[in-house]
Amino acid sequence: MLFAGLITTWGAASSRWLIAPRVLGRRRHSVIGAARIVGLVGSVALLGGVGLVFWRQLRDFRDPLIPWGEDASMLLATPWGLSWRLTAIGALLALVAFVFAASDGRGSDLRRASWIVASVLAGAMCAFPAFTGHAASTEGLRWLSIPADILHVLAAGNWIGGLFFVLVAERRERRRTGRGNALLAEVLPLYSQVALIAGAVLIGTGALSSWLHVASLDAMVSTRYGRILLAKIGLVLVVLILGAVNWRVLTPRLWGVGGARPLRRNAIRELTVAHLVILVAAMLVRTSPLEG
Amino acid sequence: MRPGRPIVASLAGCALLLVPFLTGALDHLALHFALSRSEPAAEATVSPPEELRLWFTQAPQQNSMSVRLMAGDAPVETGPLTAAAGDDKVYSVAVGHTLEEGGYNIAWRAMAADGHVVRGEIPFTVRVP
Repeated sequence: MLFAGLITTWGAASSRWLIAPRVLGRRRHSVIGAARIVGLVGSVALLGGVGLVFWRQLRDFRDPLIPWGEDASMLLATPWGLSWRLTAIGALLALVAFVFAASDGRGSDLRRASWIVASVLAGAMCAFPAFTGHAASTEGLRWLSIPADILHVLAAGNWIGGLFFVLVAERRERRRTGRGNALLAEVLPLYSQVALIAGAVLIGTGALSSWLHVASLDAMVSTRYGRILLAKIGLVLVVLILGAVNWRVLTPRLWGVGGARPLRRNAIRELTVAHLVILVAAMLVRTSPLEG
Repeated sequence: MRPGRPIVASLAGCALLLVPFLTGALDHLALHFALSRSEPAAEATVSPPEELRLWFTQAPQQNSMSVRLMAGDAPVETGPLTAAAGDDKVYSVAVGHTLEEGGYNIAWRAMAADGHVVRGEIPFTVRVP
């Protein structure tokens, strides 16, 4: 839930700045409204995820010989606790900022500034997994593993969160005008440019993390971590294939028989499998690379 | 930029990244947190120790470490936990009094830099010479 929240929130923020400004006319306002909705959904998921992560960590950290409160204070005093506190505050502030953010990109200075605040917070919170996960344990190589991990989460947000944004924008347009084709025809090429670069960054940083955490090719099958990683790679391949079908096959057929429906359905499939990838990624974070 | 170029570049990058995999260039134990040794050692029979000392492969997160000496289910009073001067991978606990003969257990818990909570037990026996 935490990862889904991070990725969705960053997907909303990045789409607001990378895609929406390049959409023409009145449709731009609708697209910014879609980014705000995605941001709100992401922030709520993030807040829930942050709460669950603390509960899980406290349960792991538990010392049965001392009271829960003492354990919680001790946990909050660790570097993990500091990262958690910053992320929890960031998630709360991001939610407030998305509530105030102008749904059409216009309005008062406060409402426009809210977009900037929400976006900066969304980006900054993507560092939480890097500072509290495996990337932080690669002593001597943190200069490489931490930036790679942050980039990995940001790129996942651009891709998966961006796809969620496209689907929400299309739905809003369909409700307003009865057809989503025109919006998709305008937004998809913009999204594809972002998604292509994000996909390349995801693959590159993912390969780097695998190298850092998996001792050998044998460990890919002999350790639990390696097996989960293989499952993640398999699911990522499915997402890549579905994305490629959307991009190369279904987008050119947008004005053909069936209109936007085949593309929409396939994009929902891609988003669903992408969320399975997030689930597997969360399992990976919980698993030590040294476990047999 | 041609649309397929980032993907081609990243695939080439992945191929290069396989090289260290194949050569085993990294010591992965050192990249992750684990207990490397202790005094008393696990399953050892020793004379009453004055302190318990634990060595880790990495420094645990600050304030996350706990070490308890147990005699069966009962905790044995010990001094405060201290990190060795100049080495935050080594922790020790002073045993305030002479332990009686019998079986003991050092129960430790720490949080690694990656957030994993790692626990362990080190059973040992005290024999008075």
